[in-house]
Amino acid sequence: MGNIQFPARKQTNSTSQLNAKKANLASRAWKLMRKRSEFVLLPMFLILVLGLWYLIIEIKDLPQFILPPPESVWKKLIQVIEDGSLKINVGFTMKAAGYGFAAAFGFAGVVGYILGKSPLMEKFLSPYLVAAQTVPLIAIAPLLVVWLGFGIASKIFIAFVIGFFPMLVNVIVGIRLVNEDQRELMRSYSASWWQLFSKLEFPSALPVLLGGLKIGITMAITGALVGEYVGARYGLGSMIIHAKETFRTSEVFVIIFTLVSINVILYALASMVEAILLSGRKREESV
Amino acid sequence: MNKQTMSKPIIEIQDISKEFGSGPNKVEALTNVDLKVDSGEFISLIGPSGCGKSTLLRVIGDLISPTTGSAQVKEKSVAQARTDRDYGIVFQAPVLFEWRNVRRNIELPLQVMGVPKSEWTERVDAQLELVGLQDFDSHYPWQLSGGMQQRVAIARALVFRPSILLMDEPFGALDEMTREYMNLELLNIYTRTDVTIIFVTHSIPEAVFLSTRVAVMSKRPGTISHVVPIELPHPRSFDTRETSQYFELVTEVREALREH
Repeated sequence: MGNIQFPARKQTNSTSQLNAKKANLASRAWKLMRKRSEFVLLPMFLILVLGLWYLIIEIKDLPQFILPPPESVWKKLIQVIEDGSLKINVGFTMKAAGYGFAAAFGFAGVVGYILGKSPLMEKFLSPYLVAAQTVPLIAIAPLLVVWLGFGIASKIFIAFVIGFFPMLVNVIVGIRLVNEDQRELMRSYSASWWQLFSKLEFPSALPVLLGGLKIGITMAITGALVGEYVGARYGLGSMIIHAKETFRTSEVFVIIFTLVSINVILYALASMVEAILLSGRKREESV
Repeated sequence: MNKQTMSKPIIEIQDISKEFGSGPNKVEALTNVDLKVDSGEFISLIGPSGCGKSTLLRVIGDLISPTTGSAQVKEKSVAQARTDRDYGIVFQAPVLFEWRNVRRNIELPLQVMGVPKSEWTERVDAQLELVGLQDFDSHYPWQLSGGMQQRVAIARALVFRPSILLMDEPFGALDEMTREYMNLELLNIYTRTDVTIIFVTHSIPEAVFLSTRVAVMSKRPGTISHVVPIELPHPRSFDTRETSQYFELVTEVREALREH
């Protein structure tokens, strides 16, 4: 009896050790998950989406032009990269969005600063600005393409207009939020206009400004796309229209994923710039 | 120690009045205010809320202009004195720039006033030592306690060597213990520099402990009703607050305040 018991006890001992190891591993995974949840959750999410994708195709038996399987989207991606068409169209859209964004940023900065500093000017101009904002841009986009042409100019303009307002609001808010005591302090130093701006107003408004910048970048890309939908030879927007019209649905998917990637990358870049520019400040401050 | 000199007063306020708003909303904040301050004095302005003591401070600092009357500093207009950077100002809130660390906060006035960069380090170091924050120069404001933040504000106000320090309830937001400690620190700074201080406060003990004279203000319209000379000997310490002379002066200021 004793002889039988001995190995049996040894075995329970080793299983409990194994269990402890498992528990340890689980707690470490849980720790990692809580600390860097994106590393765990994102792959899980992607697997879930892919699974659903296959499942829908399997159950509904959908034809390729309605919902292509992931592997044909992948093949299409390789193809548009290799024939260079993706590069050309990404370049076109990015250029239109970039110029539009730069113009919106500069213009919103100047106008927002003036309106932020002068309540009188804001009272005078804000009805027109609000009215301008209520014009549905998608409705007048065809007209803009007629006026400004099939080329990049109309896309830049639409990207500019759509990115302008959110940034304008942020600039005004940023300037208004400058602490009145800090202004008085600068006044007591007889600070010049430029010193007031560069030492107080700009750094004080920076967190709000960067918040506007993050929104503005995505908005500008949307603007460029709207312009390309209406009429263009190049750009991801026109590429989507052509692909859809010729039932190349897998290409539409490729472009959608490309756009999502571009937005995510730009947002991440903007967040990095933000983290660098706001280093040292209290965390809650960043918008 | 007696820092008063017999030369012309450094601040001369004559018959100042100040009104805010107009018509039915008009508020008379100050009326017939006269005040002469000698160089090296420590004057406290004390009075009930809304008596215009902060307004008077702002008139002296040329942050607002009086409706009537004249205010002169060093025999020139207050506007000229501000341009000449004669004032250091400390508010109730520390008003630090939250994106600058302690050193860069104290450097701010030097930067704005165009003091050569080669002098910054030495000057800031001297101020840090004066307020006892040598080890905190690379800290950011949010990492400091309220009392430490206010000490940074004082260092910043003194770094460009103004002849007048205007303080608007600088310790009003601090707890009683910190406040008494800061009072002592301020007196220490005052005796080590030749700065003239105008100090707005709600606290009678604080005013008596710190000042060479206490100007008692009455409410609506605000004016200076009494001036109580404080002849407590320097250097003053925690023990000063327990002398009978101190208690008598506190009583005198309290009675002057009660008359209104």
